[in-house]
Amino acid sequence: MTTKSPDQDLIICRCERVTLGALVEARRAFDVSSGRELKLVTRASMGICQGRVCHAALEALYARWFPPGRDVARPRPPARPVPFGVLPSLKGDDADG
Amino acid sequence: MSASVRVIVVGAGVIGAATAYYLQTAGAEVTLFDRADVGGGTSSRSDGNVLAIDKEPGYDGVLALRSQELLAQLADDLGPFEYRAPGSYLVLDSEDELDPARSWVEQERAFGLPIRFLDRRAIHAELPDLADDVPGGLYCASDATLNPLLYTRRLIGAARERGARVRPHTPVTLKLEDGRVSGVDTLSGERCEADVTVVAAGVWTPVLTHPLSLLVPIRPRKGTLLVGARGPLHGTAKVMEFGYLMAKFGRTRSVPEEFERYGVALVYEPTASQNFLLGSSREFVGEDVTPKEPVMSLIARRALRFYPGMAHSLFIRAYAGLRPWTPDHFPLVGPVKGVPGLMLAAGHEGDGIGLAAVTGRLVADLVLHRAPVVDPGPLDPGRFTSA
Repeated sequence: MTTKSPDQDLIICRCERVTLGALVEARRAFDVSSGRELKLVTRASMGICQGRVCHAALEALYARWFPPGRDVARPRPPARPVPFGVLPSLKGDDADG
Repeated sequence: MSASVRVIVVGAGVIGAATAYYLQTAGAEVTLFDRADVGGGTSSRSDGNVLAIDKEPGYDGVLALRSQELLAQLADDLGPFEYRAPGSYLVLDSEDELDPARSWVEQERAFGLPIRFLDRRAIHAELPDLADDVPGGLYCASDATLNPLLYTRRLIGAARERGARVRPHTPVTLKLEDGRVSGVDTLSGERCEADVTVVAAGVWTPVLTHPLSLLVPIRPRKGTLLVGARGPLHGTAKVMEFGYLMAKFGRTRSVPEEFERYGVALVYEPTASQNFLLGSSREFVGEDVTPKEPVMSLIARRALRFYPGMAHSLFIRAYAGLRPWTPDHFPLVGPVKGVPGLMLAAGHEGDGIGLAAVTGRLVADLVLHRAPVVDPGPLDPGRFTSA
């Protein structure tokens, strides 16, 4: 039987309840090669806050685990969650984005 | 055979993953390359549709059904990838679509698809969240859904367990020697030899084949998806609008011009994480994957037309991917005439997740000279390419 060190239970992503231990285990189990890959297999930072709370902690881990240049975090719309009901009133302007 | 066939697969998206899996499982010695992340291109920027309901009777339908059968087997053989087969619905926008929908059902049933027509009462009984004025719909029992990225990873994981070598973040170029492709060179100058090299690089396939003066008519077609927050779902079934078929096949629909311009039609997909995805759009705008406001707005308008209650659900993220479009909507799968040692497996547009299984299996059959799982004729790259 293996004993887990207590920090393995540390919650990194609150929205999706992803612990440090889950990230460590997924990185090993899936032979993950970048932060984006790890995000997609664990859902870390993919919840309702979209990483606004956990991105600093995640980026520190990614920097330790993966070579530089593999994780270009791209801000994506919306800047914060909004009801779908507001989308139809968006201006149809092709120049934005 | 004393020595196994050495195969290089270029592209670790879902098509390359399935190809590597079936080849390695059949005893070939596979090395899988990707210039970046596993599944980092189109495969992680798509929904998880595995559909037969939107395939035309005939070869299109055969491919989809064979792939669904193979996928059900993979769901047993691989680790979990959120596979489930709850069927899918197509809902009608107006009474004008009743007749086309009925004839679609008739021809699909004649072909052998488990599909049925639902009148107004039946569709509302099965999908209570739907707008009151929806006049009917269709249901296809064989349709499935999955998590595309996990599926890709499970295929690759199983291939690796059986001895395949997996090399992400390793860009390569095809190595042409004496008129045949003899393998690849990595950017760092390493040479890797193979009996057969399979290019499964989706929209990036033409970049790899261009140095061979081989023109592959695959173009990136942008598709945008919106993500709804975890919360009460608008039904657990996967729902598309009947007009999605028309948008897919480029036929005329009775919707405002702006929906046609961006190829916007409803796709609603609840996910295993209890979020939901909304699509869809189809645009030729190069390789820009930034979600744009006009398209997001149109996708939401289409969703709200069918699901008025969604107005209060939270929109948390948008993303877009590049679907590898081909002129006849069929992928290019098989050897390339005039270029021994080279095979293609690319150009699935929005059907790559669904058709990965049959594609990977077919490539393995062709490489190993086994009886092919489906007739490879209609997918022969020779219908477009000339070397």
